[in-house]
Amino acid sequence: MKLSKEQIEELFTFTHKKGVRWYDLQCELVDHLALQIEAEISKDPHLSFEEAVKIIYKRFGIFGFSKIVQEKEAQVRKQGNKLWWKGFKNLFYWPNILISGSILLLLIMLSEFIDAEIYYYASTVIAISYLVKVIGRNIKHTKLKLLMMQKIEMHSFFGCFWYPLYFPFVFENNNKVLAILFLFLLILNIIIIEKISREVLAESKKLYPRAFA
Amino acid sequence: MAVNPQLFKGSLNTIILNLLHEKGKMYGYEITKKVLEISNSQFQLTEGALYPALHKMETDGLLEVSVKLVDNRPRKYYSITKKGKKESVLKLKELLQFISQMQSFLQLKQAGL
Repeated sequence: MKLSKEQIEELFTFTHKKGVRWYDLQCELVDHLALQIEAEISKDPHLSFEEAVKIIYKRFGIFGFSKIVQEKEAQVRKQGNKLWWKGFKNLFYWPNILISGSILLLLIMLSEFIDAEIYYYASTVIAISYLVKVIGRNIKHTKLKLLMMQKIEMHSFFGCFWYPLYFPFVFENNNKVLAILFLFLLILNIIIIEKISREVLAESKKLYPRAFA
Repeated sequence: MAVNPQLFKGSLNTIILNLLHEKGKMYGYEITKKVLEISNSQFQLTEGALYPALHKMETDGLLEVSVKLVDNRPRKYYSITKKGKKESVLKLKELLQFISQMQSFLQLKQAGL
């Protein structure tokens, strides 16, 4: 006996209620539950769908789906970090080093004419505008939440907002080296995140088209 | 008598990698069924152990995924990558070595040690 479309939708709602917010993980668990429910009902045709759901969910133990969710989140975080470092390293290999080298050179040349504070203001404007863009893009793109895309968004957030730590150095000492370095890293971070986002978006659209419908 | 699942725990990744190496792409439920069938119902692979293992191997680049719409729902298939195949061979070798060492430990009497 195969489950109906409506019953599958009920399973999506069920997993959401049980703490699985991510559509990509919901898909995997819904399919697993559905197959188990179908097997259970085939063994005992008098069993209702609701009863079968209860029986199967019990098998996941007292923590339900939480262990699977936590472990998946940890893995995606790790994967996000891996992608970021790969992107970072790539910027220092040929031919990408031409781009990163030119940006650094331009920032150094400009330092002849501008103060460290200007770099700081420029960094703030760039960081905030970029974040507004990322958040807007995320709202527009996904109807259903995808874990990998969410984690990339977190990367853009932390990648852009660690610099308040450097404010005192920039302002008190007019430290141009630090100010240039920060702006340089911020720009590199945006390039990396943009590249990763494009790749993850393309992959996610291929795997989970319904999340973008 | 069912085998203690703790004994399988350390070899779970090897078992999954080897299965995918031999069978090609498989989905989660199919893997649990296959493990149960191969072990003559001795080894019940739980969801709480299977999915974290699959997700970790996916992150490590040992497995890759594809999704197909089957019976009104998306189904996620796992298949082994080139890196995964190499790892599978290596892990299997390690496991066989471990089994042979365990056998030596368990046959001390016969060996007269």
